Amino acid sequence: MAFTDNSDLYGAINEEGINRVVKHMMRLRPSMFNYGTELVEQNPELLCHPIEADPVVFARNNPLITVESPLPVLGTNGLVSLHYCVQLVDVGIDFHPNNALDLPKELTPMAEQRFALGAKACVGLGCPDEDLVAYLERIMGTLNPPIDVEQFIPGAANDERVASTANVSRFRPKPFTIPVRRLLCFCMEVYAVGHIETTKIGNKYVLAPKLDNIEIVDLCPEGLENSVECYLELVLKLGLLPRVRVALEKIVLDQLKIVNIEIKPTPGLPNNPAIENDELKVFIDMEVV
Amino acid sequence: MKTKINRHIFTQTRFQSNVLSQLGFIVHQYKESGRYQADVSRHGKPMYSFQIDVCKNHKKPQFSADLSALDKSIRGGNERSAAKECCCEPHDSVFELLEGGFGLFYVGSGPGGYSVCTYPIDQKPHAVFDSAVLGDGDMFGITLLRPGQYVFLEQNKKIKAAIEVEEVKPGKTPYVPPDPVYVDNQQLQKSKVIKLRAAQGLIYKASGGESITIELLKPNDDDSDNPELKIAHWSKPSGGSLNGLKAK
Amino acid sequence: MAHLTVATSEDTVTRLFEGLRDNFSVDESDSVDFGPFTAGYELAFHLEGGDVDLQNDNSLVVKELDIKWDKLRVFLGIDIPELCIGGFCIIPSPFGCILRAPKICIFDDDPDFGIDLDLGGLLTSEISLAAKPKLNYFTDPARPAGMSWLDAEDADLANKWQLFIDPDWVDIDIFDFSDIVGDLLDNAIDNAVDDLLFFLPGWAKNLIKAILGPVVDLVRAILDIGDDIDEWLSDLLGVSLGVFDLIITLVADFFAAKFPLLEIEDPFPILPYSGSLIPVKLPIEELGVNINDDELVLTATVGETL
Repeated sequence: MAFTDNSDLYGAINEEGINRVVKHMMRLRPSMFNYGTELVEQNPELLCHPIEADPVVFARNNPLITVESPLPVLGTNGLVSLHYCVQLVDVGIDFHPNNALDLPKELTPMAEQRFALGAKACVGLGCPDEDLVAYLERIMGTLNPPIDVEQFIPGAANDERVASTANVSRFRPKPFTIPVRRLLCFCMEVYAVGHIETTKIGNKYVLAPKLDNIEIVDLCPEGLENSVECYLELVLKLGLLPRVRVALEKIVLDQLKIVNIEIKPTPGLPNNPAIENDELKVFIDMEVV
Repeated sequence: MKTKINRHIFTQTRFQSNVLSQLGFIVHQYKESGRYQADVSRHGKPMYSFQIDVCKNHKKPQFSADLSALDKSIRGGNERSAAKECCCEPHDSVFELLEGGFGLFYVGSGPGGYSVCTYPIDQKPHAVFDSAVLGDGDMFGITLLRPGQYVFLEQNKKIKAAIEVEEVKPGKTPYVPPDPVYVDNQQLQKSKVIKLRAAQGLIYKASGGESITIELLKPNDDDSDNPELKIAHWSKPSGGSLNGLKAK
Repeated sequence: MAHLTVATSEDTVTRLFEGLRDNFSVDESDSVDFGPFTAGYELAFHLEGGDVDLQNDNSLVVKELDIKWDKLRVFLGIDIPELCIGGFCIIPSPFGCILRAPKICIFDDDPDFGIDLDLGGLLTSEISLAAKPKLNYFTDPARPAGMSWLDAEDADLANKWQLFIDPDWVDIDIFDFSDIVGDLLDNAIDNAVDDLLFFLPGWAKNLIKAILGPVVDLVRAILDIGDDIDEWLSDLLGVSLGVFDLIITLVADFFAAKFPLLEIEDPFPILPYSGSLIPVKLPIEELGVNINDDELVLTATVGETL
């Protein structure tokens, strides 16, 4: 049977191939997989996991991480925040049938036409040491508004000593992030199962990975696990995956230099794209414009 | 290479034995051996000379002297190919001729206007041949191309005849002009009309003292669609006066 | 094992071939001196049509690839014989002519007689060829040694895998010249005579034409045109001027080395520049190609490092 029995063009990439693609993406655009505060960006030794970037990334001064705002310390009215980093490492993809990744039982058996994604999500938080916390406590104490003494002691507002305390309460320092020399890191094994759709954006078809389910291994309690899973699912769905979808037109038409045609996924096939036999397969038809 | 047409042969309407131009030629027979000098003039102005060596030992019964080509080669100092020595002192402009042979003088290119006079090299100015006045036995030949009616005039002997040249049209085979027509004084006294086809030769045998003019009177070609070949032309006003003066 | 597989159906290969074909054009001229005459040509053509048939032996056959002549002019330059008048015998004798009149020639040299044949719309011809796929790794000569892949990307000097179709054979079929080609030649000869004599009045033209005789016959004799002008023209173009060999060579060179059926940039781009973020590209370490009677299949291996 020919690859193109039902279509004009056929394209396929296997597991090994897609994992090399992912590897090149992580090396050439590490900022898609690594996030953190400015301090972490300027001091990559703070990262939980070293980043293996291609030398041209450094040569072109490309960032290793995407800089995000610090994590605010609740109750400080935004005055105090913490440095942190979140990294996705050891990313791997397994096309159906599941034989390359050891999926948690919640995701098995993997349904047909699905792919599995496995990664370690490493999180590092810039927690200050005890001495620094004590120092900060003192500062915050001076910043907290004093008790309204007039409410309790009439005429006290005219007392010189009390008035000087009120003046101090009007001073408000700039927000600051607590400097640290290291981050407290932990890593979670994250697995996800998804499928790939061809969707039309404007007048172009794209291959878009869609996430079906996500699972974090050995995180308790269940509520915490669910919350973290929810957050990571959002990161993947809204942040990462939309940036790795590939325009069929660009791949096909730019490389094959076929002019005056439009392409579209071949209709009428049970699965297109298909994920089977450890491969992702796409069937494409051409239409003369 | 761009080929140039010989336009003069298509524009001439007047031919004279004493002013040679293309299509015409003069023949003189050299009956006695000896060294002759030929002086060539153009429109009466001496131009150049060459020599003729007549000798019994020479083999050629004819030499043909292209007066225009000689004009270029001799006066331009160019080497002449026709000259060779026989019995006399070397000279680089010598035609060799068998005693009793014919000297033919013609104009191979250009507008012409040449006359030639030959005499024994040590007896100048006793000419044995002068193209201005044809001698007995000299011949004047002409090849008329343009169809039409011409007049043949000999002023000294008052000979006048008509020449009719018939036009030739392209045919299925290449046209070869008929043999030349020979005429002399006596014939022309009898028959006043000479009929020719275009490019057919006409040869007049002189009896001595003639000077011949042939002139186109009336062309019979219809060239209303094909105008004449234009050349520069100027003619002196006739019957009038110059500078406002009136003839009395 | 290859990581990537791309298969293109026969229809798609035809589309690829059409793109290749539409980039082909020729504009050539030459002339040859054959002694009695010179002949030259100016030709320009492009290709149209063409049925692509994939074969099971890793080859493809293209048939009915029409040559569309944008220009096909044949120039014939003939030195017609010396055209002179006079030269008749004045005094004949049994032993030959004793005295002969001078010849006066109409032209100062053997006239160049030029015939211009516009055969563009009169020649039906097509090409067929069989070819095998040939992969070539192209490095732009302008790319300095040691230039990084990213600098090459910026300078539009990226390396490329190129897939050519390398002809095993190319045939050109000349079906026939139009029936009017004979008339065309006769008219061209008449026109050439008129051009040569354009400045002469009618009586002079008639005289010269009469002396020359039927010019068409004369020219046909000089050119050695027999009864079959088609055969003569095919022989002139094909054998004498080598036009058909030239066309075959140009077509073969074009398909074999000038213009690829497809090009794949190496490294292969998957994510473009995003602001200052460098593009993501994949090294194509190995590329393979195979043709069977259904499709053309490309296989590629993604390299580990750029």
